[in-house]
Amino acid sequence: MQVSNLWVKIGNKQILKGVEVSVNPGEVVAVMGPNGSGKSTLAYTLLGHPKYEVTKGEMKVDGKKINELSPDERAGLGMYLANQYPMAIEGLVSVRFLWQLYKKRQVGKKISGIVEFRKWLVVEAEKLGLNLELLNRGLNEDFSGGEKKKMEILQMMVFSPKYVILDEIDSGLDVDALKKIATTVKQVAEKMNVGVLVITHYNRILKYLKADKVVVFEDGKVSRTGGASLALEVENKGYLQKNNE
Amino acid sequence: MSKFVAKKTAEAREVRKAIGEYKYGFSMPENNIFKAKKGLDLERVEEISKMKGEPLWMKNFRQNSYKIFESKEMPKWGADLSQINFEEIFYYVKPSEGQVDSWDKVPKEIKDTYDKLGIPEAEKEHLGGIKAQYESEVVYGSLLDKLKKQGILFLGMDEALKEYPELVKEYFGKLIPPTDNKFAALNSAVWSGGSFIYVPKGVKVDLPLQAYFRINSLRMGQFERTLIIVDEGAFVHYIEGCTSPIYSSDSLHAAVVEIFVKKGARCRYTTIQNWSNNVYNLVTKRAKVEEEGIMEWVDGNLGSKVTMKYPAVVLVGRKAHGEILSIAVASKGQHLDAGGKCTHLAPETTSRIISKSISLKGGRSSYRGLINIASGAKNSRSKVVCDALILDKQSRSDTYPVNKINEREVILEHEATVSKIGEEQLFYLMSRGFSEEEAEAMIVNGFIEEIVKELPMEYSVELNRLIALQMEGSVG
Amino acid sequence: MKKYLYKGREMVKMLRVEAGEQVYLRTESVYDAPRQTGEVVVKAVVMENGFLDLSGIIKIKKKANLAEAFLRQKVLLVGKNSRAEARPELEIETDEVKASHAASVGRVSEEEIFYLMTRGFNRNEALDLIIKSFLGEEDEE
Repeated sequence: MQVSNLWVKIGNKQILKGVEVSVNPGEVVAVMGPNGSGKSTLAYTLLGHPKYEVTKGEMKVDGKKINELSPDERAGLGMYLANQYPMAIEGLVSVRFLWQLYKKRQVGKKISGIVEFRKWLVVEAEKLGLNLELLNRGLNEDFSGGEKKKMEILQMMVFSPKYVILDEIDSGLDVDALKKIATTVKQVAEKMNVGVLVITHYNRILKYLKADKVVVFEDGKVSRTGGASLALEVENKGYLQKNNE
Repeated sequence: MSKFVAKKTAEAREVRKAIGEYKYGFSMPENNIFKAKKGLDLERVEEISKMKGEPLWMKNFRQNSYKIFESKEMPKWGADLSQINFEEIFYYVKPSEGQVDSWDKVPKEIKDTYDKLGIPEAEKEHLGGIKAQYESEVVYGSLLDKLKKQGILFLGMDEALKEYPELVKEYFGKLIPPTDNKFAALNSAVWSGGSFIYVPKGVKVDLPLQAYFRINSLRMGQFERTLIIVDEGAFVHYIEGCTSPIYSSDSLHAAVVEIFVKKGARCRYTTIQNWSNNVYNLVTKRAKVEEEGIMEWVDGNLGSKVTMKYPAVVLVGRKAHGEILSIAVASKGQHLDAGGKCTHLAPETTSRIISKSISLKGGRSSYRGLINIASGAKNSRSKVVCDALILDKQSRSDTYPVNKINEREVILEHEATVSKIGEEQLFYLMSRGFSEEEAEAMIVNGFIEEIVKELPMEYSVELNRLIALQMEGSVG
Repeated sequence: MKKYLYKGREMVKMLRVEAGEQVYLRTESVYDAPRQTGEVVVKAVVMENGFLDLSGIIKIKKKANLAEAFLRQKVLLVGKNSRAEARPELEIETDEVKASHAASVGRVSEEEIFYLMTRGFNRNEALDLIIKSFLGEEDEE
């Protein structure tokens, strides 16, 4: 998954001013930066959110340019976005939705029957520490912040992605939940050779989900890149390092 | 068991009787003198009664109702009814009327819908009103026997009048008198068909009763009259209608449904209406609920050109409870004006109205409701939630609730929201790989889920599919 | 009968229907251009033998897309034989809107009265306090 010289604006405001990020299958890339640096913009732009306008630059997945594709077409290529603020859809019963999602993603492949699917789903939900009752509720309907994040990860399991974008999945999570989610993503990534883009403010998630590369965003641009140690440095010394000279 | 099989069974007998299919070798029925005259007057009303062989009190009731019909004005509110031409209507319908005589004459949209719903050829013709097929009645015969042994009466309204005249007389027209409104008066004058159900004390009918179970039932007649009496502690669930679009050349349907729920009893009445879009569907439905009784109206409105329907509950006994769950989907050329009425006449009564309406492609969907809490109905509670979803710029939604509170020791809550499908919700589902159309359909299904989950399974599945069909092409 | 008619998209009306009075109050909010917002709140208290006919309508015309309209009617029936009729109406002719209304009618809570009485207020004083706070209170939401 590759982003080159990407310029993105919302309305009249230019948020991203030429960023470059790439994630190879099996790689974990962390994007860090202060609020307003454009991290979430990157996530939404990658999935084609209508509010975000790409004025320059290219996005590619497995060599295919995706700038003109609609969100569902991009999902069709195996891109999965775990939202920071997942939407609630009242009345859309979660377990039924997940079954629809499973069928959609397995088109052309052999699928389990619904009974097996449900059994598998319950096992995965329990591993994540997700209250099983929520499966019978509308999608994210009256879920707590933590429960919504777990549901994003459960959906990811059902989705079987090639590339995963985690948009600040650690915000608002307690240590226990964070550990469960991070280890789940790590296992999936290793097993299925998935490329992971972790957008985060803090280093904590990277303790469980070790980054191969770290990219720091500031004011819509990439200010620094480095290996896993850069994450620790940024956390200890803050983002304003450059300006402290 | 497919409901189509059941429909064929019941209708087969009726149609055979009426038309007299030569190839089966049945003799022609006695009532073979069908007047093909249009329009209505006092004489015709008398003829109808005579042709049916009714007791004197019913003939008088009809004639009196006709006079009331003539004297009443058309309602000045609600949908536009100016196009109804009373002179052009056949008021006594022979059973096979309302059907077309060849598959070609059935409107294309209806044929297309049947295709998409996956309804086999033979059943399509049946629903399109072409012909009925002969089927074995063994299953339904034994079902009705079982009911009879429990003392449950389940007959056509015409038969009930003949076989249980005293019982019918005790209740008929008592809850909805002909003076109630112009269309109730019309129905009272020319009614034909409909169901009569009586459930004895303490008997709980464990499977939903449906119109086509009845021998001599017909697909929806124009002026059906239904009367249901649920005696103390009893329970029954009655289902009227069908999700498949019913083509009718009759343009006016004015039905009346009266339900008496006695102490501690419970009744659920489910309707799915999907009339073709030339029909004016004007229905008066009311239930009287006694102490600790429960009445539930589940009302699905998909079709018709105009529907005006406000299922009502009158709560006369302490702790009586009434619920109206209503869905209306108004598409191009449709005006669905629906809702509910709850009248609280006793203390500690409760009511709940949940109305979900959707308008698309220029359709107009209106909620009209009345909560009336009379003085003395202390500690009563009522909650109304009416939500509307407008899917595009050409469509329209209105909400006209009336809350009359004449007793201060009550709690009344009313909430209404109008919205469109949210861009964020759409993006969320699309980013999971669902197309814009699929995502819209999922959101719409979620919107009505609260009510759809109260429907029997086969209806809820078809309802969701039908709505998805209606939405096709509404993207953009 | 006293009659009041208020037109506008943004307003808060407090009303006290005195003993034996009959009052008709109607609010009309029309949205006819894009991106308008508004909120109408009507709070009323009805004393003994009083009657309030409360009507309110939000009309959102075809051109008024991206409208955000709210109507809230709250009625407290205080005295014996106090009565009210509340009719919040919506007529919406376009889809890109957020519109909602809510109406509630109820009596003064006996618990609240009891509580104030245990603090030394007599029944009338307690009622008075409750009414004042109902009419003067900020919107809880």
